[in-house]
Amino acid sequence: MNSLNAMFPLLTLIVGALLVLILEVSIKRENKTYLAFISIIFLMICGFFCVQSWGKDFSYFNNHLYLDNFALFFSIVLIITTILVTLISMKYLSLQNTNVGEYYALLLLALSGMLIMVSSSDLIVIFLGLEVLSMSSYTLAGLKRDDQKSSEAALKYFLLGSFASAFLVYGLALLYGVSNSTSIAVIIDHFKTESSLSFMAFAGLGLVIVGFGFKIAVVPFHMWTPDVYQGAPTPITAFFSIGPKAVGFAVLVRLLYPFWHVAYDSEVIFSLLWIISALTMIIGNLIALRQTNIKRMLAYSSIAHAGYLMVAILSQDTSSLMFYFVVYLFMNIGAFAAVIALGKKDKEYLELDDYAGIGFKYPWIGATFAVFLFSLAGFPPTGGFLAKFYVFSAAVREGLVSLVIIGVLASLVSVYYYLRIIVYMYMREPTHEVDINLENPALFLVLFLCLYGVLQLGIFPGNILLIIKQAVSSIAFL
Amino acid sequence: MTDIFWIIPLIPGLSSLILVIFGTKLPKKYISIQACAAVFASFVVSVISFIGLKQIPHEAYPLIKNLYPWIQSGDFKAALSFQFDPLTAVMALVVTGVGFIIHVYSIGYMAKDKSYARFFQNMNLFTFSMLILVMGSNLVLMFVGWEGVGLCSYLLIGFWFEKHSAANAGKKAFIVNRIGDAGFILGILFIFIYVGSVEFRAINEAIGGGHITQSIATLIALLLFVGAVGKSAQIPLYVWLPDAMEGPTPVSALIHAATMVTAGVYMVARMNLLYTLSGTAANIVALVGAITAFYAATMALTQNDIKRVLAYSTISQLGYMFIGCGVGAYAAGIFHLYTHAFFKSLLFLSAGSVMHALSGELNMQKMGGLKKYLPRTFPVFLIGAIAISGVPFLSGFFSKDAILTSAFANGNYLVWALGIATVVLTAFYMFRLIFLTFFGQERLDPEVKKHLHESPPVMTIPLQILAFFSIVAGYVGLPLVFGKKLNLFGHFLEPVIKVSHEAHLNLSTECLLILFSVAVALFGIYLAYIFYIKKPQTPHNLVAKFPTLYKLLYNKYYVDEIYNATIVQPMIKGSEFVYDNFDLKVIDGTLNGSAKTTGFFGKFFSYFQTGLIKDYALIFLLGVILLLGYLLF
Repeated sequence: MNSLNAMFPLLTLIVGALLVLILEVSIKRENKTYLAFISIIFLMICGFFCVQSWGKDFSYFNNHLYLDNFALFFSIVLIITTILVTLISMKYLSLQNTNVGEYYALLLLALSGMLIMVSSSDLIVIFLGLEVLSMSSYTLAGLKRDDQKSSEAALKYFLLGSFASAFLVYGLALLYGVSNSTSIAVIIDHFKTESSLSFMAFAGLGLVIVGFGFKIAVVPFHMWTPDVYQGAPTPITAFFSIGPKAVGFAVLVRLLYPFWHVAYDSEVIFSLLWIISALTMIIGNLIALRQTNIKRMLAYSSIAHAGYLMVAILSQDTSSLMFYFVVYLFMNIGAFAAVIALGKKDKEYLELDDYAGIGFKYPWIGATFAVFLFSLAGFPPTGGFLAKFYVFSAAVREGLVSLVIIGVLASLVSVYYYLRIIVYMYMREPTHEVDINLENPALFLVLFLCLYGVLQLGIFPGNILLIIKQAVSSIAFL
Repeated sequence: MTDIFWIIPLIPGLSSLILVIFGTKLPKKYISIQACAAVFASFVVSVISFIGLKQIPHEAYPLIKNLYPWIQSGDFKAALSFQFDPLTAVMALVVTGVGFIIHVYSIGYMAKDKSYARFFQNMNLFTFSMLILVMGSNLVLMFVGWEGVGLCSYLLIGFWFEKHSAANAGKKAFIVNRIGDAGFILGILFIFIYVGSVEFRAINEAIGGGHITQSIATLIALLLFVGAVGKSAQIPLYVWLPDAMEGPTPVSALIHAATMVTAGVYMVARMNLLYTLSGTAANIVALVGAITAFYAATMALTQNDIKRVLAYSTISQLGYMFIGCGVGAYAAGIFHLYTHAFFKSLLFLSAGSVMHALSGELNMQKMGGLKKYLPRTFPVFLIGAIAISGVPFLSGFFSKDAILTSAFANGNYLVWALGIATVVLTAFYMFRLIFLTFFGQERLDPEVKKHLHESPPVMTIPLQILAFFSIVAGYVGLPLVFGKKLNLFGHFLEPVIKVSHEAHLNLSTECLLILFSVAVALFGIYLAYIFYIKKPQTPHNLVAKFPTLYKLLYNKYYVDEIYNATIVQPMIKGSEFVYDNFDLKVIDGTLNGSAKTTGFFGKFFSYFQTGLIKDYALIFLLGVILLLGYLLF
């Protein structure tokens, strides 16, 4: 249904971002936290609009913005992510001396870029959203201006990001050249009229995959991830590990699912993604073994998770992919929140040694962190187990047995580095004093919410699965 | 009001959870009030549901409350769902009613223990698991409760785990029970294979509809019975129960007398259609029950440990219950379960009260003449002993009699004879216990005598309540001689247990049988009187005359030693061999090897992570080239 309603979520975010920017000028530095509350209010309004539009298929701009349930589902996941990230940022920013109002505005803008990407099936509009997201991301990564690592992260992200964007645009141009359109549906329809894919079509598709492969950080386009994740402010790292990945996969679903039904030549792309998926799972997990910095380790872990998600793409089971994202959102933000909890004025504890004995000194933080790590490693009864189980069982149904074996072995390796943190927390004597700032109610709220989410999804996943079913059945391939 | 029955198990479960989390920080007084109140609330809900159940027509049985589709995997479905029917009602009332009284008693008994919270938390958890066991509407949920009570039994036997013997006893109970559970699981799996469901309703329908052949029914029934043999301590898996007496006495009363050990009987009664279908299995159940009843009673004759006598007595009485189930008198079996819960927990708690008075003394040879020191414990102990001995007009008489009459009526004369022989032995060893403890000379240690005192009211009042029920509980199931309509208990259970196949005797035969068993019981008591009051030298003379027999009985037929030599030691030797050769070499070797390999590759790949942006871009570009190359050529 063509309606201005389709614009409401986006407009809310943009108005919110502008308002935060305007107020930022007149608010004293120590009061900047109020801006977080304002941006949360706008995020909630935005979420409200998304929920309101559920099942109504609003569209605008000649269907270039199309809010089907699939788009709305990812929008809501992303809005929740942003709310949680905002909550864990509030105290962090003032402790780490990064308390600037632009932070919240940039988060809102990055989110608006992602919302554009998930609600469009026109490659140019998607690219537009990608750039809105990327520009905000580069800035966010470098927001700790007096920190060398942070600036390094921003620069690396920017340079490699532009590099990847260039390939993506090139790919788009080639596809346009083949089909005279930038709409995914038209491109695929055009493929159907030909007996085999042309050289140009292959090159175009390949380069588009490269572009999004960068965003979702799959091997071999993952090299930026550890450096950027380590240097960026920790809440932003949490944001990066979920947001851009979610949209990248959402776009891949929209692009590849109709493509699988083009009978010829799709198996070449299929086997290509098979290789990427296997490599990502193997290399991500193997390098993670050697990390002693928690943020770097979580960076490699997020690469590995992208590999598992690729398995879901290959088995064409969108619902397991979406379920994985919901679980991943809670367990990963939870893990990062626990990492943020271990910090005080101008100091973050990020080395493995810092975690020795934490389980006894701060039992609540230790216990919740342990639950998130168990979930990331895929132990029942946490959501992480079910998520992996659904992805792998769907893949086995599709006959991807060898890929599943690789995946299971790779996640066996991952158990080592996840559990190593728990071993440090509970079985090692602390080597040095770690004392942290505990006056952080918002952070503890997030820890609690994520804990609840991880367990709820692990034990009673029924309701979410029902919503996902609705979302999958309504994907509009325009 | 009947549809609230599903909260019966949840109340003690919640209470246990609270005690697990906050137990160490709460004051003792609060802990005891919460734990008792939770069980009492369950009891009240059970009573309400029981009343509600009587008001609805039999066609509506069983009431089902489906809470959550718990496991769904292919065809296999198991729901978290509870059911409530007459059999469940009886069990729930016994578990919560007797359980509540024992909880109250524990307040006094455990008052000085340092792990007060842990005790009540485990007791509540036990009540929760036991209620799950009796209320689950399918075998899988029942098995959850079955394992839950096993766990709680383990935790509570080893409650004083600093004591080596207690920790070992807990372990023994747990391991021996595992053997039975293996059979039980196999039984469940076979039921799923042949019925396609684990819900009791579906199983009964399948049996009623003739979908199960007799040989399969025998197989399944026997496998399930293996589980019951373990849990209800029958031959050959009874060895754990005497050792379980290492736990606190309220635990022995609640778990190892009144409730958990009767789970096997409940299970057989619940699956009564299956056992009725397979005559072979039913005969085996009756025979195992009869032999166990007699055999355990002989061991009780020579024990000097007051709680062990009661433990063997429990095994023997459980044998009676299986006789009832085996000869098709399921209602009588459950009836005995119900009366036994009162008088056996009364006996245990009274024994606890004696121990409490004597600073923990268990040896009856060091007691004697306690009648005047324990004026409140003695009468209730005596009532319990009379009730279990089968003296007329107390509860044990009615239930035991119902079982023996049915055995006779079914033509199972061997079983009946063993049952009657056990009646003599029971009366004898119970009154041996009474006479040695409360009558005759004082043989107390002087140190113990200094602290001798009667137990506080919080312990004696529960005893008096139990004593009251030990007297009157039997009147709900009067035998046929008193009138046709007076067996209210059996009548109430009819919707679950079909009575049509029970053979009936004519009244005069039944009268004769009852008189005979009464005479036999009184004879046993008289014998004990001669042995321990009138001519106290008699036991010594007998021992001198039959030293081998005495030694055999005193050492419990050396069964523990035989098991140790034939099963335990070879097992330990075998596992040591496997550990040394397979575990250390093959498994650890493979593991260490693969860990080294993965570590090496991790190092290799991180070599490329130089941190230099030109390298990153180069690898990126390489990736693009390879990718395009793969796609295009």
